[in-house]
Amino acid sequence: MKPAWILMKRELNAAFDSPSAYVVLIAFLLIVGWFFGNGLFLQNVASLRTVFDLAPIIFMFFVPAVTMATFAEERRAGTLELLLTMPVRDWQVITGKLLAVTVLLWSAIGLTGLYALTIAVLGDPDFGATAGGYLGLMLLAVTYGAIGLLASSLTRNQIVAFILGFAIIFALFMMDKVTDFVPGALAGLLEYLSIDYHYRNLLRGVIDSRDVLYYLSVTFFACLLTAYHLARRPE
Amino acid sequence: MKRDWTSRTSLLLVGVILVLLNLIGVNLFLRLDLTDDNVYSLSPASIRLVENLEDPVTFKAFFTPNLPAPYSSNLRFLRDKLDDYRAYGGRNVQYEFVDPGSDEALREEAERYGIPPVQIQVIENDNLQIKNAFMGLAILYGGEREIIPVVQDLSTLEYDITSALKKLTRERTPVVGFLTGHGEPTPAQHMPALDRALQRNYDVRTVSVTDTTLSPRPDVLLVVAPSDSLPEAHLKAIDAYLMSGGKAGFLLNRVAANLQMGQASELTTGLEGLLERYGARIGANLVMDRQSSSISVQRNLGGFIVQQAIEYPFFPIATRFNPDHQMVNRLREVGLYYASALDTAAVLPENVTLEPLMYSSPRSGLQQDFFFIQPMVARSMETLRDGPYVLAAAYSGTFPSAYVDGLRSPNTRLVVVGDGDFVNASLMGTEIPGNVAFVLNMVDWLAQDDDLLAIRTKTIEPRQLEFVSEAVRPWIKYANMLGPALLVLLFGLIRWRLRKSRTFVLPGSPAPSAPETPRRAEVHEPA
Repeated sequence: MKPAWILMKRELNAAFDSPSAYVVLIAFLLIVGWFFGNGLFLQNVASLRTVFDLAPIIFMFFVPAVTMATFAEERRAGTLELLLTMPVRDWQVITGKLLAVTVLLWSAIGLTGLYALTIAVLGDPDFGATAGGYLGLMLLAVTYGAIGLLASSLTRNQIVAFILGFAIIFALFMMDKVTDFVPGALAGLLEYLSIDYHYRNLLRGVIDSRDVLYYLSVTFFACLLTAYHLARRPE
Repeated sequence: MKRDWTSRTSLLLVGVILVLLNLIGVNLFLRLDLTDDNVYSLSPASIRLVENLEDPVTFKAFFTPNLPAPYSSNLRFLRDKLDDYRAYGGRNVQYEFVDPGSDEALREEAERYGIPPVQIQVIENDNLQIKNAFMGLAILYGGEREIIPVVQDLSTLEYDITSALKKLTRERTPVVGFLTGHGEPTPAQHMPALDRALQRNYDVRTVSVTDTTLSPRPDVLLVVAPSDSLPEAHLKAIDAYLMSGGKAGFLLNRVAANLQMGQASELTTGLEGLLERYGARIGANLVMDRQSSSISVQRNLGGFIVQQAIEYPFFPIATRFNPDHQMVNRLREVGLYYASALDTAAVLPENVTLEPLMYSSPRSGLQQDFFFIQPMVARSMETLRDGPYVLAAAYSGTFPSAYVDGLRSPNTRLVVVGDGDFVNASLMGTEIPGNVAFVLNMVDWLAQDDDLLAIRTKTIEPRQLEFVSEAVRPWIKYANMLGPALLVLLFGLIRWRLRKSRTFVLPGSPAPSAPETPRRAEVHEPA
């Protein structure tokens, strides 16, 4: 685990030494804050629904942007070979990079704690719905991150990695919105595969092992596919 | 290094394992309900009910599988809920799901039970089609049955099922009577949502006075907003009803107000004197509250007529309830229209106790004697801070008769609310959910059905924020908008300063022992 830890630190240092991490964090917080702040006294309701509804959609754009460089850029610069021939395991490399992305996204989510504090002071929010929403958002962020890494391992071009990552996340997000268009037997499967469906279950304030298992499975499988592609040369 | 484990075979293998794991997980799962009211878990009342069933109950769900969103989660939710019931009821609880879509016999059965097909839009072969779907539940117990025609509102599902079970296992359905004959609104016509909700547990009737008694004699009498005065014979009938142990709720307008005319005046129906004998007095006043509903007014702005929504203090929104009273402690908000405050300083007869139920906000005031209710006038009354006032109260004990000296009632219950319009949908166009819940709770409390009280308000209504003055609002708003982003900036600055102090050699200081090694082999472009 130690190499993964060191890698994570390296990645985070790199991110926070360049403007990239700040741009991502600040843009995310400004967009969410804008909607939350404006709706706060208009709706006058002690809930974080605005944040929880909006965050997955912003992450859809931001997470691929954060992860697009992870492997694609290393490949382009030729440092990937170097990294993979070091005495670290592939899975440690992937874990390290995923951890770094996770820390970045969770800090973004953590900073929205100020909103939670605001509604807790001004009103009496439902603890369950808030906790469920945060758990759902954290799991969703990790899953997005793993998919972003996978997209980045498929190519040596950052832009392609971004578009691929966005496309995969978008497809998984929309799975349960298109159930009208498919025959009944498929609808249940598509719904189960949808990132958003499980997220909305957690938002209600019920932590269901089925929803948590889904996120862990998708994350794990995306990491495995990443490992598979790292061992191969992309076109 | 070896990378055999990323071969295609192992990928497939892991994929299959994951799919299997999820398939097992769908049927073997844990749920942790974190919501404040445990909305998604069975309440003790429901558990007690199914544990003590004498005969088996069968739930038959007529449910079309694989419905598109937004109905898709209803099936899973209903199945989970029925699983919960079965977990406690054991062998006495059975359930089955049937799909009437493909089976003529089942469709007929659903129709016989009164479960209608619901029309939903689906897209088949690139065409938008209307499809018939079934989402009903039949509850069969000892030759009787109760029906939930469409399982739609998931937050009230448990209440629906449990109250249906209660109705099935109960000897007799209590009668709720609405007094008529003095200009009162009728339940079917003016309070449809309340009427429907009451029908689920009670036999709802209209009651009139024949000779000297109420007929039919209800278990719970509701007197809602009479506009004409009651003859003495009728007052005597109500008194006699209470003296024989009847229970009653009085939802009265002490002031008749007309928004269109902009006028209000005191209203006397004869009930005032009667209630005063029992210790309940509604003041001839109007409560004004800064926490209020909005009304839409027309304003003339430079030749343009504009519709504008303004807060109207005579329509208070009550969010303060007595936390120790089961009837109201789980309510969130009730919206009132021209409410009058109760006089809690009135002398109570001995052996009668008063419990306040609902208050106006602290930022409220009273208008007495002369009423000015024009919206524009009302707007200028910003400085209200005399509240809270009691808007509703419960009285229990042995009440003295207003007409027969020395006669006292057995132990009974009364509820008095200083507004009669808040349940009347025909006046305001809508029935506020909290208002209906309040009256349902009132009836349950009067009928002494405490089980239902506990489940009823398990709805997830959004909760209002406390009042924040206009001056403070922008600060809070912008602190939330910019605060987190500024924190990130601050972190970046501190980090940058630290690095600078580490890498730069200040004149006069000793040279650093080792030059800063480059951190990375490649340069990241900003994302």
